[in-house]
Amino acid sequence: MTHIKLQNVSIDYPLIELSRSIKKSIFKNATSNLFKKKNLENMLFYRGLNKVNLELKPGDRIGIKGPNGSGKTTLLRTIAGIYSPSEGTIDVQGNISSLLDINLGMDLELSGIDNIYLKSILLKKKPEEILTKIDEIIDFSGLKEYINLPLKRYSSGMIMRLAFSIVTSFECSILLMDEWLSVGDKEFNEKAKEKLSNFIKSSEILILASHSEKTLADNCNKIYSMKDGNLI
Amino acid sequence: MRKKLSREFKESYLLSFVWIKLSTLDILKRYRRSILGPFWITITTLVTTTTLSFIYSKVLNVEIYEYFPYLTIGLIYWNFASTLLNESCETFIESERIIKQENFSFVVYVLRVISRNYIILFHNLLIFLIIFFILGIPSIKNLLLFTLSLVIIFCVAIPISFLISILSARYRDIPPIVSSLLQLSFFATPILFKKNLLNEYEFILQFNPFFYFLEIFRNPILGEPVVAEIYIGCIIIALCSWLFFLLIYNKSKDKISFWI
Repeated sequence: MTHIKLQNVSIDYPLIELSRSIKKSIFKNATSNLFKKKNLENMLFYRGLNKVNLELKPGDRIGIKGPNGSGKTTLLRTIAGIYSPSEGTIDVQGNISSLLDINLGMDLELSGIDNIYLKSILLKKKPEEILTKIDEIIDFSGLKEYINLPLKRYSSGMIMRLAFSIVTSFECSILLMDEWLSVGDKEFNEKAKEKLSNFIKSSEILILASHSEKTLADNCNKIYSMKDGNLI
Repeated sequence: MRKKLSREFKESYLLSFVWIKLSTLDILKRYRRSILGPFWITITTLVTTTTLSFIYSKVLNVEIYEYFPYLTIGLIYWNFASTLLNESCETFIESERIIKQENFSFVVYVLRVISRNYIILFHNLLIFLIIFFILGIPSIKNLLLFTLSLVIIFCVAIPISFLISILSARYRDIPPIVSSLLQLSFFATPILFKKNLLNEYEFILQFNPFFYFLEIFRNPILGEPVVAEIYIGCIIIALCSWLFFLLIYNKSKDKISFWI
């Protein structure tokens, strides 16, 4: 069954710029007996998440608000399995779709068709599955014959429309979103609104990070806020 | 927590459509809008090896018909090995955006680099048709031995490429070290010259890891035997690289996403 369970999860970012090169790390080891720089050792990590507890089951629509750098994206990435926690345990069951960066997999040099394949494949969709959706995607994006041109010939609105059409075509059970998706011109926006709400309805769990209180209030049934890596 | 390596490999096998697509698109992108497309790879290599054969067969005073196949196979091998190792330095850096959004196993990104280089290698293998024309088609046994060498090289490419990928993600001093070592190794590997020209110093080749894989790659096509010691050497190098890789991998698998 789809669920997410985080127990006491902490994420520590190594501040690698402070000790990146081999030279420094050899030097540090060689001199560590001479100079015990305890402060530096403590400074080498930055706590991105601090002992976060979260338990979600199907039907949960979670909104996360908080200032920049408070750990919203870090939390989403941790749930997506990108960052491993330095303490605590994570248990995630379900098929995750993370829309942290909607332009991921959009390549300006490749044609629209190739981009559909590339982006869908990054969503772990098999070529056979993509084939069944491809007409729907092209149709919804409204790109028509432009679909065979490389993306660098598109306007930025057209690229957004294509990306939007691709990601909303594949259903998932857990949806992670960093900021709401807004796309294209007025006409497309109307169409997109409906597709997006259907897409979100089809997911069992939604986690949405946003700055906009209104977006959160409209789409979520539980709102948390984050501050300095703490989930409140 | 990242999964155990065996499960990561299994997952990457199931996701083979991902890395195969990524690597094919990498190649297609490079030659987009050119008429010959990826066959530029073949032509570039052919022009280089033909020119070098002309010059060096005179310098070394050998027959060009004998020297051209020798040099060509060696250079194709070298292009493959050096590009693979150089590109391994960029594995996680070039895929940074994907890593920050999708939780693919890291094996996927390494296989993207390796398969991309195999695709280039296969384009270059077309030149072997010219060599077959000069030397005659090798026996079935030699063709099988050659195919075996591709498999052996693949088995070693995984840990070594992975190891370089991890180390260069952490220490950005690794890429320049790798590229300068490769430059040096080219002249220390018998590609331009024949190994018997080293006379009593031929033994130093056994300290050159590139030599072993070159032998199993080149000799079958030239119709020359590969001695058992060479295969043993390949196996020892493979085992050592897997061992080093496993040690480093287990220590770093949960940190790679933070490093890039």
